[in-house]
Amino acid sequence: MKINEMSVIELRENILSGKIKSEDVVKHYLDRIKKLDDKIKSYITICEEEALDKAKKIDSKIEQGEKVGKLAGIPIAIKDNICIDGIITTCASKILKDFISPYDATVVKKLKKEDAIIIGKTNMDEFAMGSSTENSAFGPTKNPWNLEKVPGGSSGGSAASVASGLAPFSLGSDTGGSIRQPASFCGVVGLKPTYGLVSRFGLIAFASSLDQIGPFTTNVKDCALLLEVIAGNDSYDSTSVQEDIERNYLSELNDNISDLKIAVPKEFMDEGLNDEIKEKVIKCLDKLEELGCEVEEISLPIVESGLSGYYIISSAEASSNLARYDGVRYGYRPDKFESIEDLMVKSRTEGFGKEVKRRIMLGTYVLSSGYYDAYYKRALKLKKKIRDEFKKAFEKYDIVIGPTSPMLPFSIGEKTDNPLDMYLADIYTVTINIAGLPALSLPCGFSESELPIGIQLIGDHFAESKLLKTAFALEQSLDIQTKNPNCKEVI
Amino acid sequence: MKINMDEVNYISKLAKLKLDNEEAKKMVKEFNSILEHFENLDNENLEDIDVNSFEDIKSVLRKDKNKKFNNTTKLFQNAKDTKDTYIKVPKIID
Repeated sequence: MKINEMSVIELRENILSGKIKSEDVVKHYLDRIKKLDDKIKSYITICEEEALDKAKKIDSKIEQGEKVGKLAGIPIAIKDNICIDGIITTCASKILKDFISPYDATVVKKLKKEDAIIIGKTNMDEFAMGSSTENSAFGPTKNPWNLEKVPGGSSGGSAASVASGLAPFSLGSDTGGSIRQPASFCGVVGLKPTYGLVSRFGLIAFASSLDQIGPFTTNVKDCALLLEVIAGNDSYDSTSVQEDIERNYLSELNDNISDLKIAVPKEFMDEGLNDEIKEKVIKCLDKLEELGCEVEEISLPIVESGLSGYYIISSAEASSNLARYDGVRYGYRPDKFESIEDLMVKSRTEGFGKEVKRRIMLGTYVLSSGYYDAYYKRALKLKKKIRDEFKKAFEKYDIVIGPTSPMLPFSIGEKTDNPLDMYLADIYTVTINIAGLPALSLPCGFSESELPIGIQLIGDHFAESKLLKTAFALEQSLDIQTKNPNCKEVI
Repeated sequence: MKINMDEVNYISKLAKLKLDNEEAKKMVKEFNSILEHFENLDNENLEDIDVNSFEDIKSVLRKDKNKKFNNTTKLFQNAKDTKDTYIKVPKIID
């Protein structure tokens, strides 16, 4: 078996037993990146030297029988809005193109503690604003299954790197679907954890009340392992979970799911959903019934208005969060300016891309005097309503299921001129962030055009264990792992 | 029309962004279609929802602690123009 075809769990076993050296694993991935990433463009920065250094150190530790971490010697790719000490963190923006982070994000600290090896920083939509990774200042990432198509976004680089075997796993961030939608477009597993389960310290803010870091993996088991490592309280993030949460995601994966009750909101399967996606989701529901789950249709009439609420809240928070980029303390600064006002306006105007400006403008508008009540305040009310609607559903059901995306991966350039069209790509994912719930996108098959399709499993707050074991059971029964056409050979 | 050129120009001033005429015109058009979509909020009954009640949210506080920070070079590594331990900017008060 080739190194890039091994799961994280297999790599771990092989490295720990001394069968494979971490250095060889890192070299193998670096070689693949050099050979293939020109076509995919999933990385912005490669950390070659640091990665090889660290690998050698871990190999010698293992040789000498010293204790090593849970992810010892395994390379991981990190979305470029997550800070790593001493490494450039760009957010795929011109405004941060030479920003060197002075500290590690908490998730990075945790990965380093478990001896994972950071291999590079992945491409994304600028400041995580977008659904296609076309809004990157460094050019778009391509979908490994079809290079003419987008990989989804905003964590398109993290998804594409895992799908094309350029990293065994990666981290992304999800504000309105930015992990799940690219996972679905690239045919990998992507999990957005419950708001607060994973610390946001060191994640460059887009919309602080919605942002959450989560894993991309090729399979559910690896996802459970990575979540165990990154989850937990952090005194640097006051919104992180305060209680000690049980994190036995991996050991509980095999638990029986036959007593689970599953709800399918009819609004998720309505008009506007691609027929092939609908068919695959129905097939999954049949499988779950075969596994003994009870599947029922429910009504959750918040899909359309949820999208509006999301774009109001996220843009409002973005306009406030991005006010810090003024060219004063760090970030892009123009060569010539006449006054402090001129410095700020020029830094922002020249440093931000089109979509980021659009969101800042939209956010400033909905927060401005005269519009605050009509838009922002109503969106906050809707947020409560959406949360309550989901809570009600979870009183009766264990898991809510629907498609991840209403559409198949679209062509590069297809939606760049119509922002509303692009926003509609997030229609099934944004309400989950508004409610702060965990949700996972699982590959569930392919379209006739051989593009991946994802199904979205949504759980109650902090019910990641139940979510993962359901996804695991479904993954096993779909047998998608072995039946996937090998996209690594396509490129 | 929900929004016009004047409003877009006013908002861009608040956001400290400069839009040229073409960009502003385009933004008016895009905003009008986005704001039209936002009208679906009208279909929601939001009357009895109180956004100022936080019964399930606890505030999280911790004690301030003194810590000595020595690595000032790192702190200033991203500043474009510095003098000693200051960041240089154009004159602020005339």
